[in-house]
Amino acid sequence: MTIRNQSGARVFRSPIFNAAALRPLGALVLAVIALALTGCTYDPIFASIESEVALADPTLRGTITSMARVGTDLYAANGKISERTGGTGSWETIAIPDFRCYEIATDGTSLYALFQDSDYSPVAVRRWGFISENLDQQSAAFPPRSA
Amino acid sequence: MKRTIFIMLLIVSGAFLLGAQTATEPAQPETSYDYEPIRKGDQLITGGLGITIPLFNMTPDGLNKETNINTGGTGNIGYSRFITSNIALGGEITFAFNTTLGENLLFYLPLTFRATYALVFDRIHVPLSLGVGGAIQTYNDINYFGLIVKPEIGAFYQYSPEWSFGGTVDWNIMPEWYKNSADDRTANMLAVGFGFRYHF
Repeated sequence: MTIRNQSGARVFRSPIFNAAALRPLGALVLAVIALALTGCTYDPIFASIESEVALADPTLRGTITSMARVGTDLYAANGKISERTGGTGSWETIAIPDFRCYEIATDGTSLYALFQDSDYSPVAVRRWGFISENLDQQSAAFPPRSA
Repeated sequence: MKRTIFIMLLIVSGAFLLGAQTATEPAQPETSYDYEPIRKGDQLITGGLGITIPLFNMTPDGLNKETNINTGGTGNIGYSRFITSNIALGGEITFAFNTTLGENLLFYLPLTFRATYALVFDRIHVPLSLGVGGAIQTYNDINYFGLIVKPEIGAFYQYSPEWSFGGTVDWNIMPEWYKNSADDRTANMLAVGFGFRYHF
């Protein structure tokens, strides 16, 4: 298409390659090129995926909320409490009160477990004294009773 | 005898009438019908669904076919406008996901500008496209925005003036460049899918 400017000179302007219309497009292209040429310091994606390994079948199912080690034994909480004697072999469920075990913890000698009721409210804490063999169940009411 | 004369008069008068008709018929302009399957200014909305097949990664040490990426899914929607009867310019938004060997999820969202050259064989349209743009990539807690180049070929059957249906095959080339060049990878993935095109 041929048009004339104010001074009457002929100016050619292509209907396709209109510079004004292409300005935003050019800015976007430049932005993409700039981003593409900029090195990234974050963790790599495809290289990380290449280093993945296939996951082994789980030995304990459910949502594990916490784990603890008492001596050489491992304990895991997933609503119930499972024990792995000596840290090897299969997991065995241990007897617990009729509540859901939310979390377990240890001081190195005893195992502590926090229990919730069906409303997810904490109802009891139980301690297993593995070294002293003291199953102090009565001290486990929650919230702790005043002495 | 009278009957014969009457018939001859009818024939002669009919011939005169025909002649008079021929003489008064105006000259018709020549008409030609040129079918244009695509015209300049035609616009398209495109869409499709398909699968993505990881082919290999280009690494600083060569090609690695053990990408640990599983076959995934993809979908796209785009717009193009023909600037000539064969060439269209437009853009496309794609989403794609793949699971990985470690049971993680790779998700990427390419945004591309696309140039298309369309071949037409009767009601079969074969668009040859090249898309260039950026791809937002997410894997676990890692995000990356990088270049993507997508050569694509398709074949579509023109079902009606508005709709055509067919399939596409496109090669997704996604380089990732890092400060540590040992982590550089260029993923190559093949996407195969069904698609539609709405012409207006």
